[in-house]
Amino acid sequence: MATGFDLETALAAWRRPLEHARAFLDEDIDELEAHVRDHIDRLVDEGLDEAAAFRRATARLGLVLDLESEYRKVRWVKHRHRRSLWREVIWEGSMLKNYMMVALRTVRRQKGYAAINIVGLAVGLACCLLIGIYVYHEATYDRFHEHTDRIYRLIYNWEEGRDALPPPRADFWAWGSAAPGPPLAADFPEVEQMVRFSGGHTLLLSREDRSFQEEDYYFVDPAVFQMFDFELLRGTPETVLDEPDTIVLTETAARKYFGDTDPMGQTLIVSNEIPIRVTGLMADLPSNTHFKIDMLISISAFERRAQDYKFQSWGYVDFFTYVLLREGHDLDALRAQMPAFIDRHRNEGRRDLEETFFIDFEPLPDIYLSPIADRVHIGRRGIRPTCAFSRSSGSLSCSLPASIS
Amino acid sequence: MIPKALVAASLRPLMLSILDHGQSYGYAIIQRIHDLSDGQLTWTDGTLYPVLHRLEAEGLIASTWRTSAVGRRRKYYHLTPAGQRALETEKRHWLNVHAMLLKLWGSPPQWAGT
Repeated sequence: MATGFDLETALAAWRRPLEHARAFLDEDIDELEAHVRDHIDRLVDEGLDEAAAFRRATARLGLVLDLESEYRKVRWVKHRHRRSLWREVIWEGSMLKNYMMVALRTVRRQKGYAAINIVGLAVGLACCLLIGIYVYHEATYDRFHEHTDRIYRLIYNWEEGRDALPPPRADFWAWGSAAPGPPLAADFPEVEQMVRFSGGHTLLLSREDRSFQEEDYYFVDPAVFQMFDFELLRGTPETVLDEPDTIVLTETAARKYFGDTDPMGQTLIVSNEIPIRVTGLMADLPSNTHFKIDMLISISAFERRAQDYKFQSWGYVDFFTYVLLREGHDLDALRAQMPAFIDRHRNEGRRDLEETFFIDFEPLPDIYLSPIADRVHIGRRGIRPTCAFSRSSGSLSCSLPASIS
Repeated sequence: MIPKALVAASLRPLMLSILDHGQSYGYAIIQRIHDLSDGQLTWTDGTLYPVLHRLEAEGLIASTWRTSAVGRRRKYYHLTPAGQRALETEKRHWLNVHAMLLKLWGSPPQWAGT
């Protein structure tokens, strides 16, 4: 008798590749094993030793690969259909365990390649996630206002010559005058609110011994907190900037001037001479808005001290005007009425003007990513959307090889 | 030596016919075919099981697991009524082919008596 041969061990070893092949059920392998055992019994009866009988019987059965392809033809299809969902889950689960084992073995065997693969995959996924978050952030600018879809910014242009055709919308300016806003709100019932922003310079603001040159300040019409959903922590949205010489600070700005003391009702000095009173406290702006605001000051503080032309001239340019239109408004109808409106208020009926003025509207959600007016801009500017899309497709092409690896 | 294609075609009627004589298990069925063929049919044993499984999938045979006297679990196959009918059809087909060939070749006397 050959030494060192154990039939059970040999059979177990012979079974293993069959167990790893997808085409066989345990039952199939049991059946094949019974066959091999029967054959061995017979060969041993004929005088062969166990080891030789085992070799001949298993060889007679055929190669695993050949067997598998034959079994696959019948078994696989049949069992895919027959299994209950639960058994399918268990089957797939055990296959998953198998894949994991194979993967682990490969990792152990080829540490260098595995490290490259895993790190590559991780970096790819991380890039994909980051770019995804970035694109989401870019695409959701200014959408947190309840009335986002009804808010528009006025854009302007003018051309030489009477009754000139409007220039391309890309040539319009968002930076405009204070004058069109109030008559626009007065003349058209569909204009529910009108808010002008004026800023973009520097403003010296002081309290006792603390003075700062502020850049992100705006003089605004009182309706600002009714039109936009900037979070007002202290004060009433409807009235917070009603009084002249009042200011609303963001939390960060309030801390800068007042530390931990309550800023409400306190006084700040503008340009070393004009006292203004803190009547509200607003939360810092979220990052996904085109506005960059540290403080809002009632526009009357500006208007009371400005020369008349600054608020009356259609030529003095220092304002951004936003309007909230009523629900169900017809923007095109409003647009069509602009020439007559301009004629009434700017030209005052004069037909001798050798220039044509234009007013148009651009939707608030588009301002950051795809502003119509390509010129002077309030606050933040987004990358162009084509660029955003190429970035998101970039993230895809980044993650694709990663997921493949 | 009988060519592979003909072996494959004949396995079906062979297996149905063997099971027509009573239930049996894989090794015994294969052994029987082996004995009958007198070495003229060759195959690897393992590939015969898928043929059995295919017949089972078609509902022509059915199987049960039993434990033999020596304690070995074996899968026994038996003919179903559909298998009986299929066997009759197979028989007809093979006899038809057989008759056609005999007509063409003439009846060789050395086979006639057996």
